[in-house]
Amino acid sequence: MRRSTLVILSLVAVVLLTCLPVGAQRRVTPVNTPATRTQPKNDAEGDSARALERRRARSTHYHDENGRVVMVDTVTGVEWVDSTMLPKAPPMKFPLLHAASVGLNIWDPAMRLFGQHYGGADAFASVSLHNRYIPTFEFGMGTANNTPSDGNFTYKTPLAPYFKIGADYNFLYNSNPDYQFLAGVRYGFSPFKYSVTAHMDDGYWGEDTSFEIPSTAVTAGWFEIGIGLRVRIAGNVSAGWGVKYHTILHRTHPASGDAWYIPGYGTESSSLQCSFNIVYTLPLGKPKPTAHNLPADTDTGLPAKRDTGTTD
Amino acid sequence: MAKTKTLTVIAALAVVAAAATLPACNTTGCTDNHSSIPVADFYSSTTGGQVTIDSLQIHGIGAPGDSVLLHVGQKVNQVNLPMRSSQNSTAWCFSYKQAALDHPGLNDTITFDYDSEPWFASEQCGAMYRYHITRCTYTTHLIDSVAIADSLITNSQQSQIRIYFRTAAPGDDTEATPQRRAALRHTQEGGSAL
Repeated sequence: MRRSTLVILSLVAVVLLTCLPVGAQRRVTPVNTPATRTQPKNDAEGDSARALERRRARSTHYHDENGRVVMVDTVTGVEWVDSTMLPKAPPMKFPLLHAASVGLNIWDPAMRLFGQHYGGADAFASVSLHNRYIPTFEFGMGTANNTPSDGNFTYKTPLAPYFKIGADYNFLYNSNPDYQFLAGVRYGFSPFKYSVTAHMDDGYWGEDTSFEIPSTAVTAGWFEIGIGLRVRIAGNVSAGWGVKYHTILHRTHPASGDAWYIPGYGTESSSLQCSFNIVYTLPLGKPKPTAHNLPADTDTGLPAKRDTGTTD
Repeated sequence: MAKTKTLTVIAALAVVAAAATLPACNTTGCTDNHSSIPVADFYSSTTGGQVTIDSLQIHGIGAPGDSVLLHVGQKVNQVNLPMRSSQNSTAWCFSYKQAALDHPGLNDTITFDYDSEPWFASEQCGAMYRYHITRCTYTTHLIDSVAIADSLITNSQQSQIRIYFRTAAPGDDTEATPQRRAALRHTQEGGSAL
């Protein structure tokens, strides 16, 4: 009896030892498949939004010294920041097509009254987008007729056109549009001609000579970056003034020498240029109501229950 | 609104300050010459180094009254040789006033042939001719050779011409060295076309 019991127990043990590995293998789940490598762990429990919502539900919050909302997980005690509640960029207060403007730069004409021997005038047209981005196109005419008192030449550039294209950025885009604080860039281009007549007093050889550089056609392109201010002075009329730094990007180098004056740019040796504009603005759209008028706590996006410090 | 007014004042002040600096930006002055004058440096053909000479007299051939450009006694290692703007050729006579060398037969002549073209340098330096040297000829009594580093002569103050003189080696007798005697007997005319 005892012997037969031992035989039965041995058979059972053999069967169990044979079946257990098979059963264990059946329970093995591949953990390194393409799917598992690309799926987050919590997919089995739901998507990340639901997980975030559950974490919010078991968290309370407080405002730190800077007024920011800090969440506290009441289960783990871990502080965390809900990125979906961070302050968003203020919305545009003004419509896309906010205004159109035309203007006249009268800096050079004014300077010519004070003895400047070159310059011209330019007009520009621009469109205000959201009172923030202001694409601009400029067209002008410039001329020069200069005989320096300590020089030996007369330099002339007949009236020639120039063009500028670029954009301004209004830092006060959500403020009163009567005041604009602008920074902008331009690309300018001008095709023009110049001529020079000169007299040389050759002291050693005793031979005075006069010569002429005939009219020479050249082109120049340049880049400008500047800041400015525009203030409405009456009705739709504004005054604007600014200062620009500019540098020549490309130019023709004729054998007779580089041009001294470039219409729209000024003299080649100048790196700064001023402007004074008279601008007429045509409003195209009115400011739209924005979240500025909404209660402040609405902007936080926090449900009311979080203010009470709900815990699980 | 107060912030806006503050910005207005700041911007206006910035513009005024920038406008005040504009004239300073425009009056840089002429840092080069007001005319195109080639600068010739003196070198020793023996050592290859630059030399200073105090017994040299230079005048332009055809200059009014044979005006002397460089007087004896001036210790110089370079000289400006102004071109004739009304001609396409300029010649210079080099006279050596050192004892035993002060003889008209030992004078050297350097002639530059060139094309001149009107050129506007800048508002500060003005308009002038600049010259493309096409040929340089010279005698070789005491001049060994003439090298043109840059055939385009502008108003820059860089030297474009090197004149190599036959000079005694250090320690040699300055009056009757073999090098000097060879130089004195050397009368053939050399030249280089550019």
